[in-house]
Amino acid sequence: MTSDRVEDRRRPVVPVLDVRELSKRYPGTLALDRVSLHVAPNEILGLAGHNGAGKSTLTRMLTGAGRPDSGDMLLDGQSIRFRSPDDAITHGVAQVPQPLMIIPNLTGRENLLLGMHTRLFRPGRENGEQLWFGGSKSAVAAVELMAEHLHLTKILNVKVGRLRPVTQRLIMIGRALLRNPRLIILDEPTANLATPEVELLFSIIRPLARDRASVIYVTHRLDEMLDLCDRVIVMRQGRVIAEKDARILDKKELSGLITGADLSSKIKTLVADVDIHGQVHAGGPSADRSKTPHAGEEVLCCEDLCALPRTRGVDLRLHRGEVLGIAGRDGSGRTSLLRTLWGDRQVTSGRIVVRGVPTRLASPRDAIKAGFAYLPEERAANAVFPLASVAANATLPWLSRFAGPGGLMRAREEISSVSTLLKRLDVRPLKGAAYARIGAFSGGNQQKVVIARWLLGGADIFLFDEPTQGIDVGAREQVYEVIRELASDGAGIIVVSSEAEELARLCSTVHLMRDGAVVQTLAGDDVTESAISLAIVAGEIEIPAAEPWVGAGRARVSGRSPPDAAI
Amino acid sequence: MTIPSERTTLASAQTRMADASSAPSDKARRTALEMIAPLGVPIMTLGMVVYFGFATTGFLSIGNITDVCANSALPVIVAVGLTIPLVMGEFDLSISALAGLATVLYAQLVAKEGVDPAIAILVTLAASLAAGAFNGFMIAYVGLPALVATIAMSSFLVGMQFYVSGSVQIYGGFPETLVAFSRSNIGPVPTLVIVAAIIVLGAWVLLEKSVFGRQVKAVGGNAEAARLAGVDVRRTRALGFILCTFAASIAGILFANKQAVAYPLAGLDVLLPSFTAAFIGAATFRFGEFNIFGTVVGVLVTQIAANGLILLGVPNYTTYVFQGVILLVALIFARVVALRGTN
Repeated sequence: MTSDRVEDRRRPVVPVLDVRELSKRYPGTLALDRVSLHVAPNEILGLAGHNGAGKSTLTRMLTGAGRPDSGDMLLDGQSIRFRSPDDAITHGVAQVPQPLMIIPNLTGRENLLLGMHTRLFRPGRENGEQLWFGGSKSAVAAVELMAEHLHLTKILNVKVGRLRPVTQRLIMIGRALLRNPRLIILDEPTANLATPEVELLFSIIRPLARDRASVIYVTHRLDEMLDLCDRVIVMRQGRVIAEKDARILDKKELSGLITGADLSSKIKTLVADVDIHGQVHAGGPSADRSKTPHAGEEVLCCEDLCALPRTRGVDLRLHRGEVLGIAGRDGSGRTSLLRTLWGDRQVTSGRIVVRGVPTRLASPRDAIKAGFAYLPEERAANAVFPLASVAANATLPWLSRFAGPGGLMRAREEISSVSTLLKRLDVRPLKGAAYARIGAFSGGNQQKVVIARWLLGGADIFLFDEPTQGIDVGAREQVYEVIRELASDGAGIIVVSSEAEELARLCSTVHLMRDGAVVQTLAGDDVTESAISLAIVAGEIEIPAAEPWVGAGRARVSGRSPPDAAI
Repeated sequence: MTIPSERTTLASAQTRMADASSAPSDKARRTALEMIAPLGVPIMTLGMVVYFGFATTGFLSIGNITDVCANSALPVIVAVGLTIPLVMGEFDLSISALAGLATVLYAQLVAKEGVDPAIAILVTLAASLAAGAFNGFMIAYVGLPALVATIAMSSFLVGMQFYVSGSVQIYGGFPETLVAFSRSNIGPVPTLVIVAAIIVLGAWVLLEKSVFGRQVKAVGGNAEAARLAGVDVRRTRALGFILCTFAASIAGILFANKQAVAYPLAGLDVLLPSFTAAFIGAATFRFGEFNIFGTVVGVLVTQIAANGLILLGVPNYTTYVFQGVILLVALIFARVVALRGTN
């Protein structure tokens, strides 16, 4: 099988997908400018480019969600135009979108059956489990087979809401594969996965995708792209600007291709200082993390902090000028720790000491008063009011400060305070930004507005949860820059991140969390991307729960699995 | 990009948003629709006025126009109050029963018990605030769904109307000055219209210019984000319900004075008209968002329609049919535009 494929590649083969001179214009922009590309059978093609480069427009055209203005698409040599996403699926082009689209209160089997020939309310029980959404016999058989391929057999009867994100992602992929696509588009499938889970996912989808369908892989994570893909296409400003063999491409070059010439030279130097493994060479502008850690006084101290069930005995110390990292996979209690510090979880035992004073934080308001600032993960869901203006987004916690007589807002004062901060944080476009709806800005700029929100109140303990989630490469550097600046201005900062590289670049100390507790601490020269990844993986190996996902070809386990094995 | 005013900023912001996400489907059509959509209701209203003007005699007479305005005053007060919970993503189905209880309770106190009108008003407002606070507490703090909680409250309040009045019609004995006030005109304008206008302005300032309004909009925009940003979401929600019932009970008291007669279930019929008005309002001016002036336009649309239909001489029940249809049309209209915008 494998050798066949190699031979196939030498012969001229008809591409699964051949896109020729595809253009799409939206008023004001040419979103796609004569884009041509092809995907060979069994190929994994990486699609890179920062936000707004045209990746999503392209995938919309390929999946029937939008119609190109001009150009041709050939599927297996046949010219085709999709009328709708359904039409695209019928013709064998499926997409696994970035948001997790699973139904948490249905089982794995029921989720996989969605969209197949189903009968509602098929009475009957299977493996002792009530089935609500039963399928036709062939559909059920197909699901069983797919589950076996994806090592999902054990969770077929488990409610999907209880599964880990990586498993939920696999279910989405399984659902797409069940439609027998010839081309499958994976859009940021690893967005909320920690490094070891990504590897798990790859080890399962790599052979499967290759045997069953060609893949277009869209991601901001360059390491993954180079790791997984055969070929990489880089888009910028609606055009394909480079096409490279992934084997001879390195991260530095790819990063340079994506960011292009339109970025400031400063960021270019930053990028150039990061070698292939994401490690920072000494002397680069980003090496200022090496400045003496623990320079300032202690601003925050947790002593055996418990907020059961998610936070179990955390000890940590944070100093002025320090950026403290928290690593760990999803569900390790990282977010819960930050939420506890934000007054959003009930402390069950232990204590929080802020600037030497034991402090009770019973609500976010208490935390705000104590000088905390919290920048939650999933900005869109947890931090941003898309229809409100930038100014209204920034001043929300401080409204009473801008209130005049009768509780009325002093609008001019509000705008001027916010504008000053936006300028300092380099929000673009700056002109009129304070009045504009925040939804109009890119992810990076939105994050800056949320940072501005807390700078307004003079916070000095910043809790960042996944600070660069959904932010493109260029803006990412700017967010790092802001975090470093906050630290050098004397703030204490905690950064939770799934990306080992991010932590390695920002932090002087990294705590690894597992099951709600800090289980390992890396400090000083030990804070490197590989050390952090290794620490996370090491933890995975200790936990047998992760094993079913690794052991390919494992015998099917009959009966019900213990539920926590899958969680 | 130069940005001369806030209005253009929003427009260009929308363009930029589309650029940034590079994910709009058909922006040309969307922008055209977005331009026409907020004008849909005014155009429809104009069409109705023109039609009724030709088809009936007296629709455009000064007397009839004054009449429509006078009839709109009290529904406007209730609907504007309802707009506040709606902006927060909540709603209150007990407004009609509450206005009714205010009418009956106030009438009973002044007309039957001979209580001083000022005290009667205070007692009535206090009772309605208690009902609103209970709604707010149950929904915001206990976490009951507004649908069921306010239906339950509504039933309770209807029962109270019978209890308070002893199931007897109340007439005579209303304070003459207040009755005269409610029926008077200032110049050509009915006094109640002016009262309503003041309340509308107050509500607009509250929602658009005050700290509380910002919090209301934050809760409506993204309650979780508001909570994490330190907004007291529960208190804001509860206050919204209190304000809503406050508006309804003021309308109820004014109604009692205007009619100088009260009977259970014979009060202001404002439940469906208020929702209709608010949803028409959400399709006016600021598209897809409930807003005070939009709600006022919505009330006027329903009142103009009701008045015109009566002048046409169609059977009375036609008003109900028309109101149901117009509410559905407003909802479908909003839905279609929203779908075009996102798909």
